[in-house]
Amino acid sequence: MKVFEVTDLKYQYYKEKEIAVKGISFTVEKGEVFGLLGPSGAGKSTTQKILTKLLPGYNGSIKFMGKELSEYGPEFFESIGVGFELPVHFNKLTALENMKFFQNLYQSKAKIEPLLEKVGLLEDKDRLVGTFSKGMKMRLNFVRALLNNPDFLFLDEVTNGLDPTNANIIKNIIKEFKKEGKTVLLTTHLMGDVEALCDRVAFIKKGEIIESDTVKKLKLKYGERTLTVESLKNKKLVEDVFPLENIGTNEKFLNILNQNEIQTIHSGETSLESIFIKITGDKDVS
Amino acid sequence: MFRNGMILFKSEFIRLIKYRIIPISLAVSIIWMVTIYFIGEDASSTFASLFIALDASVMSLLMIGTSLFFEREENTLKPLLVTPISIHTILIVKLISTIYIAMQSAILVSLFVYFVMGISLNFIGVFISVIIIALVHGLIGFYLSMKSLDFTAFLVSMIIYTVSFGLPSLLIGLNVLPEWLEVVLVVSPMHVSMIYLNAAFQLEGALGIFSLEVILGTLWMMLVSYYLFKNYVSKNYAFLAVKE
Repeated sequence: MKVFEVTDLKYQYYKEKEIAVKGISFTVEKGEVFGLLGPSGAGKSTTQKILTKLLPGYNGSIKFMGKELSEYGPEFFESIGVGFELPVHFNKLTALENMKFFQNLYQSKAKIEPLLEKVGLLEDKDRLVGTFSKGMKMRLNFVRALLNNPDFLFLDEVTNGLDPTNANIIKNIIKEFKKEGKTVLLTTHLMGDVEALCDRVAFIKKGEIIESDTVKKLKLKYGERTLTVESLKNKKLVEDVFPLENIGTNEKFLNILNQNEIQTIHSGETSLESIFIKITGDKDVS
Repeated sequence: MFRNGMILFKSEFIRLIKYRIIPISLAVSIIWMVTIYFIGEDASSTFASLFIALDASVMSLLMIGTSLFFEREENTLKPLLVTPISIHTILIVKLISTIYIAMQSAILVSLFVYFVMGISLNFIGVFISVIIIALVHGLIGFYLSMKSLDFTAFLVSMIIYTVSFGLPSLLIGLNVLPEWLEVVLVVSPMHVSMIYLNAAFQLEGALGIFSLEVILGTLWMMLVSYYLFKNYVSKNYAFLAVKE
């Protein structure tokens, strides 16, 4: 079932010469984590802002649960949660007061304290957010997105500024969310998050989708069907590359396995980071 | 809309207390009252009307503008736009909060001059004036804040507004400028604010509530409010929030 069906979406910012989004089309299926990837300024955040109704005045069609997005009223926001890239809190209110401020605006309400506990902020619930570290603010951002028990989550660089442990906690919550049959649209340029979470991805470059598929298929498409073996022969390290075709009967390969001391064996499957660089032509993926 | 508006107003009220805006406003009212007490009975009406006019105009403008800058800095404009609250409700709640603060000061100062200084005044006139003045200046605050690139630019534009619209009224009051200019000055929201409160405090030489200047001034204030709300503030608020 299609949750979002975007067809020929175009957007141009007021007084800007460049068209930010140039006729992109994609769908997001129920229960999947869909990644919108691309370098900074590619148009992925603009697309997310349009889908969350923050930017009106677009061209093309956006259907949410089969109905045009423009036809939805406030009820649309009851069913979505949005995690922003930057912290969005009142610094002079405590974490709990911030969450209550926003949650009161929704009809559906999740229990705040268990959510804070999941992201490790329960003990700090009565502290002013202004005293929080960036990582703590980002975790609170994530809780804010879940306050109304949404069925659809928009997440923009959700692990930005988090240490690996906390990033992992957030990723696990997203996986749990997905297990409940709910849907996520993830906007990011962090390929680690994509590999861990996304079922399908679309790469955006200069406002256009230039590639879209499952992570697995992209790896097969852009990877090399080879096997690289590093072994010690006469105490000297040698590297051999073999095609995957008929590898079980490749004599040289079998000889190396039998005669040399194997150090490492790697398939030619490429990383998403390499695919990102190849597709977007952007060398900076930090 | 009403339910959401009430919830948002309650939350906004708590926020105004936490950000110490309501306590500061109360402290300013106390300063006004102490000043009026020491000025003495003779000039207390004049100063009370001036203080209330300043509170409702300049303070409202400053409050909205500053609050908008704080919220831009904290990125808190955007998350409200992805809740079931409409932009109109958000703006109306902010304006009502501004009017509330101006009213709080006006009520305290009015009661003080009535009961402590023994001065008679038209309470309803004061309160209606304060609502109109705070509304217009709240919207002007939105406008100046949205037009300013940073907080310093906002403060400069506020000073320019206050001087260019407040100075002519002062010069007429000091007889430096001729009195007939008063009809022209109904285009100045600050001047109309003074006309209102002078009338409500029944000051000597004040215009009547149904005078041409008051009627023209009220029509002008309503027109300015409608134009700013409909054609500028509500149209640009979302862009400002998204841009933050």
